[in-house]
This record gives sequence, structure tokens and C-alpha cells, in this order.
Amino acid sequence: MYLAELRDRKSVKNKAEVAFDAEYDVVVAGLGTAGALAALSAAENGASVLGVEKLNLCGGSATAGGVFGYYYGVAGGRFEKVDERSAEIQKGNFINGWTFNPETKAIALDEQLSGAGVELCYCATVIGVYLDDNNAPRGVRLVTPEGLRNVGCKVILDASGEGEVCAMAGAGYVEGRGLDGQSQPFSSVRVFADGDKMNMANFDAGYAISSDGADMSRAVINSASLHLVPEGETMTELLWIATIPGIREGRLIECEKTLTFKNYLDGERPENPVAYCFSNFDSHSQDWAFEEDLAQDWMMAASLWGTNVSFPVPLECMIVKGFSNIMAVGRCLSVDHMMACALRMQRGMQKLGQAAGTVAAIAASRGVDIREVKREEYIAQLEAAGCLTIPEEERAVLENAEDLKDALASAAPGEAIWHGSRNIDKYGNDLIAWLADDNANLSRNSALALGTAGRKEALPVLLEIVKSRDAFIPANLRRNQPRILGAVYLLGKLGEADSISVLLDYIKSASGVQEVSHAMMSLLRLGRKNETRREEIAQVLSAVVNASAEYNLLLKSSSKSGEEVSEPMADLMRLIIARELKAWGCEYDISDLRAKRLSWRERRMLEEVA
Amino acid sequence: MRHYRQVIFGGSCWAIGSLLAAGEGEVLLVERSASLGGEYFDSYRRSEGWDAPLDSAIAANFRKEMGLRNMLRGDATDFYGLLPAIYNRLGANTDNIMMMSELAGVTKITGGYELELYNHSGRNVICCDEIIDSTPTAVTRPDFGKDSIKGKRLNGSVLVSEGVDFFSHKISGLDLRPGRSGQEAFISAAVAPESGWVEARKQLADAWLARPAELRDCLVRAIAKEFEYAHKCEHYEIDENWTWINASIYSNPLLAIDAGVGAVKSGRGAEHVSC
Repeated sequence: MYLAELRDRKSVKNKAEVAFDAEYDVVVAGLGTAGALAALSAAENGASVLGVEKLNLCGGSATAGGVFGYYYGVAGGRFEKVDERSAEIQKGNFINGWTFNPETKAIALDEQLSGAGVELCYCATVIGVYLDDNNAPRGVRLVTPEGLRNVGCKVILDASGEGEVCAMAGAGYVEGRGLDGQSQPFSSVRVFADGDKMNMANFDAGYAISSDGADMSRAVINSASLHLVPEGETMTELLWIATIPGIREGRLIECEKTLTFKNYLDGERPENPVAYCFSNFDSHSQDWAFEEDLAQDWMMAASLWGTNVSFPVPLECMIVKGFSNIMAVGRCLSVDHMMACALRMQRGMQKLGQAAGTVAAIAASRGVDIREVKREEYIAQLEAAGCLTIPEEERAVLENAEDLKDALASAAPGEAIWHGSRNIDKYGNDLIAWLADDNANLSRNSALALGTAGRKEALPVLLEIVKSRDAFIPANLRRNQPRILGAVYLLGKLGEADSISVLLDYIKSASGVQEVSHAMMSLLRLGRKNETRREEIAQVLSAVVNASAEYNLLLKSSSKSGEEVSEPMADLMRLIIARELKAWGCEYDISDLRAKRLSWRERRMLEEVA
Repeated sequence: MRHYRQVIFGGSCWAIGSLLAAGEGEVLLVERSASLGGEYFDSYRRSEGWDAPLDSAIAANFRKEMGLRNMLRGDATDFYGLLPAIYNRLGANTDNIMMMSELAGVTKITGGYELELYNHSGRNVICCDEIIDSTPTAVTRPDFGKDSIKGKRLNGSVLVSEGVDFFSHKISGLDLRPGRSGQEAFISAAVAPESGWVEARKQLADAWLARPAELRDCLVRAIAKEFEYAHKCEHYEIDENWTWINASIYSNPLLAIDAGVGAVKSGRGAEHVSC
């Protein structure tokens, strides 16, 4: 038997002999959004369950985290009975929340989990995993208020949010996006009374790497300070500042199946889901220039941030690869960075928790690996509970070229840009013809569609969009992006030398982090492909993004009462440029950065460049 | 292995005062949760005496900050408003604070102690000359912690409906006291020291649900996220240079911060009456 722990963020295994204090069928590490339902469902399916939770209540972001409203998702699932009980306690006794009252939800979860026989271990943390030679769990080591415990189990459900237990065990995982490893920003939430209602200020408070203890500590302290009002203003009486940081994205554990953004957009839909999630790709990243191409196709070129889509999620996305009977439950499931934006909403996570708990109980009772539990053993139960309710998408239906043309000419061309780019064989000639149309929207949006599809015919109109400083912002659903930034991005993607002078001109007059970052990234791409222009590009970038430059990224606020928080981006931008220019053999001075206090991703990039 | 002169367990207001007064790198504050000052702020413990004299500039500056934001109102002072100001001040000290860190073990070594800690990065062993445990449950010595508790309360904030004379009524199982405004009252349930969170929340909720009809329109706004503890003593020498202190004996968090600062300046460590 081995004890697997994390040391300096890496899994370390040592042989261990230990006597367990107790034995359970299932240990659920983390009783947040997914974990609470996992523990409840496992117990209701006959398993003996130990629920381990760092906080002193269940519910995670919904309760302690102060996010007491559902963001999309679809109704159905065991959690509805929790919410019903919560509403029963709340009515006439507690003030109204948004979708639910977090205090009464916590009480309802206490009641129902205890009632089902879950042994609740609050204020406790799993710090190690015991594994056998076949990477099957034997038990866990935990710190509790009474001291250290070692408990045995057959199945571990890692609902820690961060995939911590999986990481301890040595499971593979990814973190963040390709360019700099950065995950989405995290929130800080404060809860206050607003007349007879409960209200929250939920705003993005910065970036952190959730697998680093020091960075998390720093992040919590700095973000909580944002709730202080300026001198002279009166503080709103707070009820609480969230006792967990609002982490949206941490480790994404490698499981038997990974849902990727590309596969999703290519139309792949997993068969045999255990639940459906429903949301937009709710990325809080505001620095789109640094996201992958496909994300920018969707977000910048087509400006489809607000489009809600339906996601069938199979069990295999939670079955940890290389291990027996360990599941990654909740937002640490096996998705890529962009899918993580969509597959983290409370309703969906609660359903996935329910599915995991149900299957874990069956596996434990039969003494088999989760992979051996057949779908017919559990699917009827999930279906009856409502986990498999299919959400209705409301997407524009573009059946022919006329529909496409009308939509491209409209103020809300997003779906048409996407549809056109994805069906370029069918619409390519039409789009090319429309480039010359007098209707500016039709012409320019056709260029975006063609550019997204990688078609160089788009180039002249894309260049014109930039040269004319096109001010169009589409009226698609929420959070639309200026067309000019889509064009700047696509010019970089197309890689043609003709774009360089236009973009050099653009960046010299650009202001603000959005314009500069998009232009910068496109110029770096163009320089990669056009060696003879590298020196010229390097000189302009050195002049524009220099040591005294200040670029502040306004982070997203998810509520009316949120703070406006800016993240300084200049150092990161300089490091991105330095990394590329080093490969070109061009000079770019970042010597001052060595003496600066940098973020973890900046430090990592500096090491790379140095 | 990283060494500190002193490691303080518990992000208490007393500990924060000590940290702010200490020299750079000397003191490490370790808190298992993602919150500081829970013994005052998230417990909704009664705080009073806000105009009591303060010895330290650190505490006085906090009081000034409260004043500049209209928080100081005598007994109706918005105590919770001090918390963001504390976080703001600690922004320069994040290297000396380990939040969300569990203690797995204490080993006595020559000249001090070795501490096995766990946080998001994993296991981390450090050493120190001195341990101060300012946690209400004595995380460094849980068996002592359990025995030291003489009382425990779970509090809640209530919205008092307009026109309701809240304090002229009694609620069985709950003590009542005024809040930070005419619209707020605090309810308080004395729970058994061995009560866990499930039992305590249920006890508070059940008592509230059974309140008199005249208070029907009043509604709970929030339940405290920490217990309010009463301890049998103020100070306990667990071992040589390893002390537990009762960090909530002060009338308000400012006095607690002040005391923490004073402990560093006097060089006498925790200034509490011994058990």
C-alpha cells in the first residue's frame, strides 16, 4: 500500500502501513455543489459514506460562497428536493435569496445528508490517499478537528473543486490555457441585506493558480480587501464575505473521456450522457487576445459569448484515467479550458454529483470498479430524477443562402458569421460575392466569416475594417466584441504579409489593453510567418509595449453592486513579446522585470525567457 | 526547511496585531480557513467599547479607517466593516500569512518545533522557535481545545420589521440583542460545547421557527459562519514556548489587535491570565 500526497504541487508516493480507524464504501472529498449531491446520492443508494468538507457547511459556492442564484443549467435532478426543502424552511422565516436562500439550503443539505446516513466531517481536509499496487483506493488520510484520521474506503469521489485528491494520487491534469497556463479569473463575493432581500456583490477579483498554496493565500487576502469602500463613503453593512474564494477553474483531471471545445463545435455529442448542462461558454477571461484560436473565432470573430448551448456529459468524463474507483466530480471533470467555462454551473454540477454518487454506490456494493457498472443499472434512476432533461437551445436557424445573407447584413450577425465559416464549402462563393456588396455589414461580416474559415479572399475587406477604424459592435446576445478587434485577430490568423503595415499603423495609434493586445498578438503571428519583417515588427512592439506602458484589463463584474477591478497586463504582454522575439533573435529589453514582484505566470514566463 | 521565530495558528485579530507589529520574516500566521478574524466578525459576537483607549498606532489607524467610513456608532458600530480594512492592510504581508493551511503534526526538536502543514501545494514542513495557538479550538492540541470550551453560541442576524418592538418579546432558546441599525437584531442560541454544526444550525433554526406570532414578520438575514466560544481560561502553556491563548477575550476586534501589537512590543508573548 502507498500513501500518495502532494509536495510542491507534485504527487509523491511512499510505501505505507496503516490501520484504518473506520471503513466506508465511499469517501466524498468536498461537499460543495457537486460533492453534496454525490454524498447524498451514494448514501440513498445504500452506500456507507464519509463526507469530508473543509468548511463547516455543505453547498460550497451556493452557501458559503454567496452565489445563491442559478446561472442557466436546466431543472431536474435530486437537488430539486433539496431546494424545495430549503424553500419550505425559508418561507416566512428567512429573507429571500435569489434562486434560493443560502442559509436554508445549508440547513436542508445538513438535514438530507444526515438523514440519508452520510457521516458529515466538517472542518476537515483530505491530505493523502492510500492506494494499492493497482492504483485502486484503499483509503484516505485526513486532518479533522479531533486530529489526524486514516479511513478505509472502496471508492473516492474527489469533489474538492480543485481535483486535489486526484492530483495527490498522481492523476494527470491540465491547468489553464495554452499561452500562459492561466485559468479564468476568480471572484470575491460579499453578501449584504438589501431591504427584505439578500443580495450579493459578485465580481472578478483577479487571477490565482489554485494549485499553489501561497498564490491562493495572496489571492484571498488581496481580493477580500476589495470590499473596502473609499474613505468618505459609508460601508454597507455586510452579512459575510464569502468564506471560500470563487474559483471558476482549477485543475482539469484527465479522465477516460475529455470533452473539448473543438469536438463540441465540430458537432460531436457524447452518447450516453448521465446529465445535460446548459450554458453559454461563460468565460470570464477579458484578455481574449491570449486565448486559443478557436475561442477567438467564437468570441471575437463571431461574438457569440452569450449564446447558450446544451452539453451532454458522459460518466467517462469523471472516471479518472489510470485509476480504479476514483472519480473527478464537479468542475474538475475532464474538459479542456474552454469547455470548463461552460461546464461549471451549479445545476449541472449537482446533476453530475448525483450521477457519480449513484454509480459509486453500485460499484462499492458489488465490489467492482466503476467501469464495470452497466448503464442500465443506474440510468433509469437518473432519468426519473430529471438529470436527463434535454435543454432547449435557441439558436438561429439559417437554412439557405438568403437566410445567411439577411443575417450577415443585420445588426446581429454572430450566428451567421459562425454558420458561414463552418459551412464554407456550401457558402464560400456567396460570401466572396458579398464582399463587394454596398451594404457594409454584409460585406464586412462576410469577411469575418471567410477569415474565420481561413480564406484569404477576406483580406482586403478585413484590412479595410482596420484602416477605417470600423466602430461597429454587433447586437448579438451579451458581451459583444467590436468588429475591428475580430478583424485584427483574423489578419494575424491569415498570416499574410500585406497585413503587417496596416497593423503596425493600428498599434501605434491603439489605446487600451484590448486594441494593443490583439494587434500585438497578430503582429507576432505575422512575424513568425514573415521573417523579413521581424525586425520592423520588433521595433514597433518595443516602442509601444515598453517598460513604462500601462495596460489595465477591466475584469468582469457579475452583479450590479460589484467592484471595478483592473488587472495590470503590461508585464505579461512584455513577457509574451520577449518570448517570441527571443525565438526571432531580436532584441527586447525586459531587464527591469527581474526586480519586480511578478505574478506566478509572469515569473514562469520570465524563467522561460531568461 | 524554512524557519520562523514564531508561528501563530489562527488568523485571529490578536494574531493580526502581532503580525503587523513583528519584524519582517519573523512571524508566520497560519489559518486553516479562507477567512480572518472569524472569532469576532463571522461569529457575530457582541462587540462594544469602541472608543476605549488604544495603545498602538496600528489599532488606532484601524479605528480611524472605520470612522472615515461611518462605521463607528457606539454599540451599533458596524463591526464587520473593519474586516475589509484589515485585509487591505495585510496586502503587504501576504508572504507571512498562510491561509487555507491545515496542521497535520507538531514535533518538538532542539530549540523549537517542526510543523507539518498542508495547503493547496501539498505538504510543507517548517520549523519555529515558538508556537502561539490563537484558535478557539486549539488546533495544535485538540484534546486541550475540547476541554477548554465552557460555552458555545451560534448567532444570527435578523431583519426587524418596521413597527415591531422586537426586544419586548422573548424567544424560547434564543437571546436577543440590538444590531448595527434599527433594522437589525442579533439572535443567539447557546449550544452544547460538543454540538456540531448540523445540530447547532438546527437548534437555532428550530428556535427561530417557533418564535412568537408578533415576530412573524421578522426574518433571519444570516447565520454566523463561526461559533462564538467562551473558554474556561485565557492562556495555557501547552509545552515550552508553545502557548494557547484565548483570542476573543477582548471587547472588540480593535482591542484584540491592540493586544496583539502590545504582546510583540512588550516581548512578553501572549499577555493573558494563565489557566
